[in-house]
Amino acid sequence: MSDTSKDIYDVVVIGGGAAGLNTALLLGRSRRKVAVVDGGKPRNAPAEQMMGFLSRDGMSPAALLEVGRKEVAGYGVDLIDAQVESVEKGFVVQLAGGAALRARHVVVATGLRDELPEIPGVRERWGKDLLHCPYCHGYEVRDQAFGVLGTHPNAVNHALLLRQWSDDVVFFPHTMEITDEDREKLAARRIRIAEGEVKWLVVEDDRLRGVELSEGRVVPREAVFVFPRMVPNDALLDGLGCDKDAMGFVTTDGVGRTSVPGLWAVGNVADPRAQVVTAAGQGSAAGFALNHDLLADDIARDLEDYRNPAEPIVR
Amino acid sequence: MAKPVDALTEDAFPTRVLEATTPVLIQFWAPWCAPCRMMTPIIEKLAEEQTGQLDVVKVNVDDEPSLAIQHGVSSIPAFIVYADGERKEQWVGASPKPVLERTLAAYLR
Repeated sequence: MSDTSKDIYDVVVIGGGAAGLNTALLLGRSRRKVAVVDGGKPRNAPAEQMMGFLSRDGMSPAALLEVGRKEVAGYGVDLIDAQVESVEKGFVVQLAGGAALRARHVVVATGLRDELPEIPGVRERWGKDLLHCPYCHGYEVRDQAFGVLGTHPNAVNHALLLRQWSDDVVFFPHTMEITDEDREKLAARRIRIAEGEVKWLVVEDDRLRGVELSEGRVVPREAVFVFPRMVPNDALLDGLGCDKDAMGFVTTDGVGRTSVPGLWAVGNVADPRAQVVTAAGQGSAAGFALNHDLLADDIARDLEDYRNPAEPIVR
Repeated sequence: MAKPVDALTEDAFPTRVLEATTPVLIQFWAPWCAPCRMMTPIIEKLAEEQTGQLDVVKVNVDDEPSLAIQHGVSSIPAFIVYADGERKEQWVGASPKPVLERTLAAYLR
């Protein structure tokens, strides 16, 4: 066990999703003093099932977290249900309600939020038959009649990709201009284009039935895909001045170190492409590297103590 | 009030449409399609007014998906006019009765 003062955590992990919990799992097993602070709002809550996670394929997102929290707690990790208000260098993690946690390192695993287009029905059907990620939910709706909403600059590419899961794909440009080049690609992939502004998604009996265009026609569809605007939940990182990339995501090295020493970012907050399994793996890799950084500091400190035995130890 | 127009099935298609002696207007629709429902009273009124001149039938795309596919119907309400066993006109979208009548002028009394 680390012999750091009891008041200071080796690591405080902010965010208890797959990335944060797996960081904590590795560090707990490394006998580090760790806390996970979680606000209880996972990104994938609207989905009933989490797919593509080897040995966990089809498990509910809530069940994964429940099992993960139990495993992490079993290694002595403190699980704290709270919102984090700020992180100060040093580090001090300020919780809503007044409490503060001191930490040698901080891992931000706060994920991202999906901002959906303001089209009636989109929010209501999100995670059911209004989907985003073909790798996550495409197989379950394979061969159905797909629609793809042109509400994001990446929408045409999204449609071209989705054609892999169904022969029947209709692209709705909505208010978007399609270039001739994109039009040709869509045609080459046998994706039809339904011109006109989308009025709403037609839902009946808790089931998506079609996409209604404002000119008074409905295109029957069984599953509709959107590419949301993915916004990292990174206000805490901003407060500490972390470097970001052109997409607005924090830059990290291969294992999660940000440009601020001791501050780490893993999972969707740093990588919008990470699925649950990827995020968990990133958390594990970060925990591994983090333990080595802590160890280097521990050795340096022990060396100093060893070489100056007369000096009183003050920490 | 006008009575509902007959629902057309795939089985009835050859006799009711291809072998018909008058032109036939087919409306492709679905109960959950608001613009389709908007057309229902218009279609029923037209059918009543044009009895003997124009036969009017409807196809529920959920019940008769193959008829919709055969006719390349990808959005609804869709309308197709058959005369002398051939497809003469096809269009998509709800419209007021006068617009519909102008489109159908050649087939009306």
